[in-house]
Amino acid sequence: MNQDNALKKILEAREKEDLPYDFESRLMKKIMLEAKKKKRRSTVFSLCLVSFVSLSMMVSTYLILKYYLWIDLSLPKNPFKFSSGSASLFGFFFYIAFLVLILLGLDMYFRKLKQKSETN
Amino acid sequence: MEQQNEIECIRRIVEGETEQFSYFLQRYSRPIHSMILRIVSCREDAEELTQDTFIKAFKKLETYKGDCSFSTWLYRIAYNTAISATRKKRITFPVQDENLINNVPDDAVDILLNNEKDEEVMQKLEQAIDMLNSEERALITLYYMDEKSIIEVASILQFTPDNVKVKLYRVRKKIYALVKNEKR
Repeated sequence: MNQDNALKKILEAREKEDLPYDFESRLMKKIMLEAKKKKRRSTVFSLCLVSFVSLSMMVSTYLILKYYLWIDLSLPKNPFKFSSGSASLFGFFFYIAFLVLILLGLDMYFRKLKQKSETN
Repeated sequence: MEQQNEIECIRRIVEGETEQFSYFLQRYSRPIHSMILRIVSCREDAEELTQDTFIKAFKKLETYKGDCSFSTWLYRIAYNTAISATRKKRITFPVQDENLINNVPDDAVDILLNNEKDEEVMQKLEQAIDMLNSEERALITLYYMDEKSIIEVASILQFTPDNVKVKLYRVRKKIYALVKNEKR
């Protein structure tokens, strides 16, 4: 059965319809993109998993302390007392923190711009 | 030895060396494209489906267990991708009378399918191949052009080896019937 030379000849003649010369390089780019997506997905999954495990550990610790070891975990009603002087100090701290956040944001933005220009 | 190399290559890709995948592209993109082109009969679709095949293979690479050769595994993905595409496009194929196929003598089929010197017969054979359905085209492409064994063809098309033998036997008779019908 495997002889069928006429059939073989016709099928082989059609095989000459080839792929474009840049097919492999284009496809390899797509594969690289897919690899990046895959990596990002696994990172997000690991982060979610770590968050879930941490949260459940915290909740279980709280429940064990409260219901098995009978430890009182309630906070005092007013643990922090603010004077008028400390309020202005807090304002200053918030201002500094805000400035730091803006600077960090700008830094990230310019880094991304630089990266984009380098890749292009 | 070759399969060991491919398994090693797959292990490295799964561990993050994505660039190693180019080895499989260089090695299999042409035969896979030929098989898909044979099934869908459209150059543009065949190119796109070849891309889909390799992207699917890359995504599922962790699921490759090594129980069959990598080429068989890849061909199976390509075949399923191409067959799904033909189903989505609802391509219809002419139906041949079963009695006519059953009454074809085996010797006559052997003579016709080995008559490579007669240009007219070759032309008729080419037309007959175009009238086969996707599964039959895949079957003859894998067996005659890619020279896969019956077991490999069975593994790719997800049939039993006996089923493949029967299908090949019937396809040969069908081609004969189509050629003779054309001649009338």
